[in-house]
Amino acid sequence: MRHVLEKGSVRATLLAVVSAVLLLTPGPAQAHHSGAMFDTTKEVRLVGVIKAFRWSNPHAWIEVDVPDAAGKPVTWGVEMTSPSLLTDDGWKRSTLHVGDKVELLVAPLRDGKPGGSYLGVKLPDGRYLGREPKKT
Amino acid sequence: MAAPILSALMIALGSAAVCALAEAQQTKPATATAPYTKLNALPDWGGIWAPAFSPAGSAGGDPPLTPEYKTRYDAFRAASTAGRDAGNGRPSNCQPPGMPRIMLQPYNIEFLFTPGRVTIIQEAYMQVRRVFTDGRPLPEDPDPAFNGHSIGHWEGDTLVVETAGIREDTQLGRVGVSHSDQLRVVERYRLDPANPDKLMLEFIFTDPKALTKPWTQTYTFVRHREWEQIEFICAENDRNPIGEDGKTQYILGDK
Repeated sequence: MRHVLEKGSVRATLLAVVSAVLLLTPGPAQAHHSGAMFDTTKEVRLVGVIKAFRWSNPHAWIEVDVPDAAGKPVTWGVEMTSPSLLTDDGWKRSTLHVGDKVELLVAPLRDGKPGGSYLGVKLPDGRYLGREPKKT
Repeated sequence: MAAPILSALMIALGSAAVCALAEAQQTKPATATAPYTKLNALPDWGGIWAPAFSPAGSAGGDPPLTPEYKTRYDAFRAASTAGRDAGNGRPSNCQPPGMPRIMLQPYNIEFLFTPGRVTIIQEAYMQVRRVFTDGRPLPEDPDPAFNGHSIGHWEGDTLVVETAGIREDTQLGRVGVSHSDQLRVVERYRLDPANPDKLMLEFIFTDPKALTKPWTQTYTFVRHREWEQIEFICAENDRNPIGEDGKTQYILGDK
């Protein structure tokens, strides 16, 4: 494996960076593009089936089919950070496959379209990567 | 009778000397004679350095902007706080940010030491910065460039870099802050004395048109020796082009 997963303070630091990037800014995040399109004060939980997963830099990308209120699947496009930073969180190119049942946590697009910025995931085997949903 | 032979000999020797000198100048570029062994005295900056700073920046506070540049920044912040994409003035998000924000990306960097220069490689945009440490001065009339033109020198274990000739359309340290063509950037890099796997970067910005006084910002990077940089091809799966209205888009669906 190319990258050794680090536990402890370094991983916590980078996790904090990724979270801070998404949470702390009222304005654009310090990304290679403006993050103003996302509402970083909200967390939306998407329960659905993976339609596509692209392990690309600058952004990894997930498409997930989420049933709407009528049960009809709507495809959400979820933008992630770089594979380098995701690797530190435990992600690999092979982490997701088409057909996987997942729960994704995203900061949604402000304009209401089905898209958002990745915050965390619950994988088919029940493991969490990234941020876990707030307990309500 | 010896005189013509002597003259011929002297001419021949003189020509040979001139030829040898010319050849020496052709085959010895300025940095080639500096020994690699000198690099052993430099600190260990090996491995990959990941950013460990928040987007709010660092100690150093808000930039001390002149009235003209403060007006521009206030307008940008108002739009951003309202959730409106104020744009960043670039025609494409695939255009690199340039100095200084090329050092502040959520991607990692690495440093290469070779005689007479330090090369900084940023994973984002696969950018390369060249810092010449061979004693040359900054160019007098540099062509404006995204990364500017950089020279540097070592003060003990601290690398001090000076950069000039940065294009006016890059942003100054923080999103939305612009600068003039007079911007000069000094960077001071050194390992944290308490933790050699932390690299501290101090920026000192001076700009007589945009700043009322020098502005300092500090950032930290964390070392990962076992990482490698990966490719960054902005045009691949680019879902964030900038529209005609200057706003960053978000392209859903199959691309």
